[in-house]
Amino acid sequence: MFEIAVDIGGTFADFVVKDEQGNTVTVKIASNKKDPKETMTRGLNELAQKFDLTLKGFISQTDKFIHGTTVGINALLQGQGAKTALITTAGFRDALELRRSQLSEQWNFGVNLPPVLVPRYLRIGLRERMDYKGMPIKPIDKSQIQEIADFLLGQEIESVAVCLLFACRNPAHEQEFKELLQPLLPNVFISLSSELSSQLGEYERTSTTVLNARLSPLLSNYLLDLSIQLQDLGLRAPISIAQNNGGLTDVFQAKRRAVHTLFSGPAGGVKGGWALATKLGIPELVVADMGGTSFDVSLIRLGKMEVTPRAEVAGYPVQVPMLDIHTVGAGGGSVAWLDDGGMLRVGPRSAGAKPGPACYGLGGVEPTITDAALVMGFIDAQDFLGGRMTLDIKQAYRVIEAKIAQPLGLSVPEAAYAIYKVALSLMIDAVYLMTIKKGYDPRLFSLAAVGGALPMFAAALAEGMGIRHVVIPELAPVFCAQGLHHAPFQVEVLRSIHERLAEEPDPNWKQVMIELKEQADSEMSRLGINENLSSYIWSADLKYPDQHHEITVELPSGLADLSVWKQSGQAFHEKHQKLYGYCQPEKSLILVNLRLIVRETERINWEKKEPSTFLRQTNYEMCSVYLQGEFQKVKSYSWQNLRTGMNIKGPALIKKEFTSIVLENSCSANIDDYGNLLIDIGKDSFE
Amino acid sequence: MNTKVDEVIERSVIANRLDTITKEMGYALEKSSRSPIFAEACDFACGICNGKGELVSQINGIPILAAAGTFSVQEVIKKYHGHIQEGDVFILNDPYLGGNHLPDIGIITPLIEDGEVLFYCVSRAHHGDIGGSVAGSYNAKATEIYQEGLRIPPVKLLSRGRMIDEVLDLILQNVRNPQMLRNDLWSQIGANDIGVARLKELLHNYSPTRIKETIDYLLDHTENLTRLAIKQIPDGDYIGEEWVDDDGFQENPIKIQVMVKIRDEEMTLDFSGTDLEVKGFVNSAFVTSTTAAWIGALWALGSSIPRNSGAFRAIKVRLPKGSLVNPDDPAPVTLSTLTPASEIISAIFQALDTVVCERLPAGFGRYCGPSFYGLDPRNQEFYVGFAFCALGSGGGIESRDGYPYMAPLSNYGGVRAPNIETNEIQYPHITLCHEMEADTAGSGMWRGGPGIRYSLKFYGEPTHIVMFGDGMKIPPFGSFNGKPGSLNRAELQMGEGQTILLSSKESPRLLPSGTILNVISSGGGGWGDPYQRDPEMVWQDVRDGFISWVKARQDYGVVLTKEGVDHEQTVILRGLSKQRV
Repeated sequence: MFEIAVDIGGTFADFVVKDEQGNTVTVKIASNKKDPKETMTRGLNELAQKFDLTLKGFISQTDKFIHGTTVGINALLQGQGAKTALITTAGFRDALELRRSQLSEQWNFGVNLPPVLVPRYLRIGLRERMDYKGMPIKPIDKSQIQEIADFLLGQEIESVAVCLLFACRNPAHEQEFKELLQPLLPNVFISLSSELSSQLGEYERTSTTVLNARLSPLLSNYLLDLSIQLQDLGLRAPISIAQNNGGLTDVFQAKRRAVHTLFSGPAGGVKGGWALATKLGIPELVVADMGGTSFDVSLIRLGKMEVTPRAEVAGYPVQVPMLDIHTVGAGGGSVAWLDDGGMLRVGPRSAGAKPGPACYGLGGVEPTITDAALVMGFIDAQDFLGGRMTLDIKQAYRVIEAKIAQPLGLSVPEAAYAIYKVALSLMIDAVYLMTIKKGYDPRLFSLAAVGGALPMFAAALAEGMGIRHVVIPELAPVFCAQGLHHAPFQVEVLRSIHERLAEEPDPNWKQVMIELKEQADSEMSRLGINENLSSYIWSADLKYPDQHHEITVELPSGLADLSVWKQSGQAFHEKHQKLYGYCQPEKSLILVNLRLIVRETERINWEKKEPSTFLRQTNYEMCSVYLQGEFQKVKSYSWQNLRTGMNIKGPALIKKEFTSIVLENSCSANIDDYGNLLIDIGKDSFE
Repeated sequence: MNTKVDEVIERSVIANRLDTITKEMGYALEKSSRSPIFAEACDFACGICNGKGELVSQINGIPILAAAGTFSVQEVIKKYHGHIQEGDVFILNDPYLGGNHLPDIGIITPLIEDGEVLFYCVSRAHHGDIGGSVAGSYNAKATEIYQEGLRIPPVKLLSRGRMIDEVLDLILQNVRNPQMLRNDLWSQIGANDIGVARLKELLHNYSPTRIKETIDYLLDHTENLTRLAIKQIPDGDYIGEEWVDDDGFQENPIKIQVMVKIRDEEMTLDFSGTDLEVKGFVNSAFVTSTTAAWIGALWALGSSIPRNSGAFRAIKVRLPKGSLVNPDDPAPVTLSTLTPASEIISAIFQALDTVVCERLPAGFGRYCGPSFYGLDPRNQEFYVGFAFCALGSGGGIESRDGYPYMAPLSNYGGVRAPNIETNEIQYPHITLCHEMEADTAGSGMWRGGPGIRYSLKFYGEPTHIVMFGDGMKIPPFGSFNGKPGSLNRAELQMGEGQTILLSSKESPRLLPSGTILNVISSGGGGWGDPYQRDPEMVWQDVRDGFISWVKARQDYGVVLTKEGVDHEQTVILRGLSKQRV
């Protein structure tokens, strides 16, 4: 029997299969952006071959199929989506276009905002109104329904987003509208804001709902086709889809909730980081991933993944909980340049995969981080991407010389070093902001470095942050897919409360909690997860009465315990102090939202390696690497020759398929029982 | 190792780190503050100045606050030089002593190492009320600054880490919402502390000398960038004019005139042709006028120049004493951060739009709307609110239409308007409408953004409103034969079809229960001849309800049928050759 996890990303698609014996087989292939199904078939074929099976033979023996998909986010980035209409409360149809008057680029009038996803003539005001408490003050004008249906039919609308004022307090009008409209338009997808978010704020909720309405039909078609195709090949297990929060859901739910899958793939990476942290007993871990265009950071804190209630995607606010992943534009393809006054800068523009770095020889004429790494000897020109590509080091020299070294009066290796260091500082600042702004001390964390480009920077990044330990997972290049194997089924439900928090719970909240639990349990049972295989996590969003932003506090124990509320209050004040430099314990608090997460009891499916023959030594070659301001001859190892128990002292280079690891003087490294490379940063320094 | 490499690296690394630190300060301020104007609308700025008070780094935020920090810090240095101790924190708001208008309070925290002040962390934020004779502190009938609120010269608020309660009590005793102000001052102090702590970590890694050298380099570097950009503009004297409706006491418009003198890499903004100071609160004191002039010029010079003191060095500003843009103490100034700050910028745009036309838009709407206050019947608490949702819209620019809801210029992209839902929870009113209004956008090849219709019904009793703003007489200008945008408009509907037109600068007005307030904000000005607009885009605008059929025909010369553009008739109407179609 096989368990398959697939992460189809924008550039690469990663496949990780586990068999009954605990063997892991991986495949990494180029992703066909236009046809994710083709990518899927190609990858599965390669896997089947590795097991000496036919595709049918392989798939029919598969009893778990987990999928991280970028269908939603790719469509969004490429401006694709279903033809969508928007229903709002009459008099309020422009929130989507008015954007709360905010811009990210204030100093340049020429910059274009991301397009408004529903043009105004397809935004329709429904005559109805709820007040701020969620009390209906004007019922739905039913005479409008037929008119709306006719119009939408005439416009060949495929999908309808509905976001009415205060539906977060009372979803009744949204639900009623759907019940009235759906029978008239049976083939149109209707997405209600109240099904996605219970948070206050019509702009963010509308944006979320519109994204969901536009993307869900696309995702639905893809998943439907995929299911049929896999069933034809004999797959008996259901397809599980990874969501933004690191939990799994089924196709039935995913196809109506595309907005929950926008970060399906990267969430796998965080989940993998969590599994790594748990297995290795590292409660505080920075998970950093660097590929061709971006540097992504997330945190494992006290053994848990960090969640954010809202984020921005391609300039659109999305208000659903997701794993907190901070992205900066620094990847292997990021371009180094001098600004008009001669200051060295790196990124955020990327040369991408085509033309790519100058050393690819595909026509790139700008120096990138990859070019700098090649000049510094971090990458082997003959053995890039596992030998699939040969790099042109002369070209890298030429562009760095012309664009950076000459204007600054530096030698080419010095210029490459400067590019490397400036890129490194961008990453350090990203990790710094991510940890420190949440009140965490980065020095208490370890670093997990994954993705193709990061291992080159990992030790230096750790040193810059004052981090002492680095883990480079054996499956670093397919880390997101690997992480999906650890994802549990998960359901999250939430209710807006907005009432004063007393030491004793309001009797109404009990009812709310019962309802939330029923709602979550019924979802879980549909996913096939038994109640006693589930864990329940309650949390509350709290704030001071006059405050505008809430802080989430986990409720410490069962609900029967009355001191829960008092404890959560204390936890709030402490967190506030840490985050914002002060707190006011004398003040009362407002309970904004009550949330329940139900999660399939987690199992980490990560076995120790069979101890191999005990080797202390391995072969190495000598190679020339630019470290500490000069080229040095250092030992160069091949990862596949390393065994548990070996200790490698820096300066050294370790080469691995798709990446390489640079160890400076003070570092040492060894392979752990799971096949990961652990690096010890000898120095106790901060930057 | 070649020290040159170190230098190259450290410059970029320290510059990035300083920006990261200001970002973090801004984040802390936003999330922990209380007054809606501050936490919801983000009406604040924070930054880092060096020991000389030069602004080194600042987060993006309200443009008109872009340079405010440096003036505040310089006033503190002037007064306290040689007497600043570790743990001291300063406060000020006086527009004649380093502030911009009274509601904006600056908190300044020095960082001292070996007896020398190396940095000042500064946050400036707009507070809901700072006293004076009108709640919300926009007093349209003030004739002296004393009537606008409490003046705080640079004073110590904390001494060696301890709050000076006498000072705090004195301030809180003079405002209408003392609890909220107290909390928000704490959140400013907290944000500065975070900045100071992070800078100390930076000092741990690099020597103070190294950091000072790097900062000097960054400022010089920015100055060079600015001078290079100025050099691109042909030498000459460029004159621009803009007008303020009135001062709330007499009806005559007030002229702002700027002569932009370009000589090689020198730029001087000379406001000598500007009218004298006026009785009402539309005067703009030195700090606000200088900042407006700087940011107006920088918009014209390009977006890649960092907004720090290096850039400001290269732009000279002449503000005649006793004029609208540099009045004598105690002239009232509260409106200045909206009007005439935006009109100062607008005058500069009109002076320069022929030379850098691709960078500058047509006219923007001006702010005009009420503050409202009263007793909230839901909790019997006093409240003060502002009509942030009454924002006007932006002007068109070469290659795109103006964005709606992005005015006024002084706040461009920096103020975050609240959601209607949040507003209704905070204040005792119900919103009836918040939508774009047809035929308000200035016509043009690239039209302005449409203005907004905002209607409210208050249920608090008694409710007062205070209208403040401008742009009810002078519309956003059109560029290159584009048409002007619409005027601001506001009215009360009293039931029985009785309607009262409001003016832009009023005394507090008591609203009878059930009164409906309608504010229709300005559409932005158009850019380029409307006859040059693609007829298909005109059709889309009609379909979307941005313009009427009549306007399509009158302004754009486009003839429409129910199916779309009648190209033949359009060609005839436009009287143009076929290639246009």
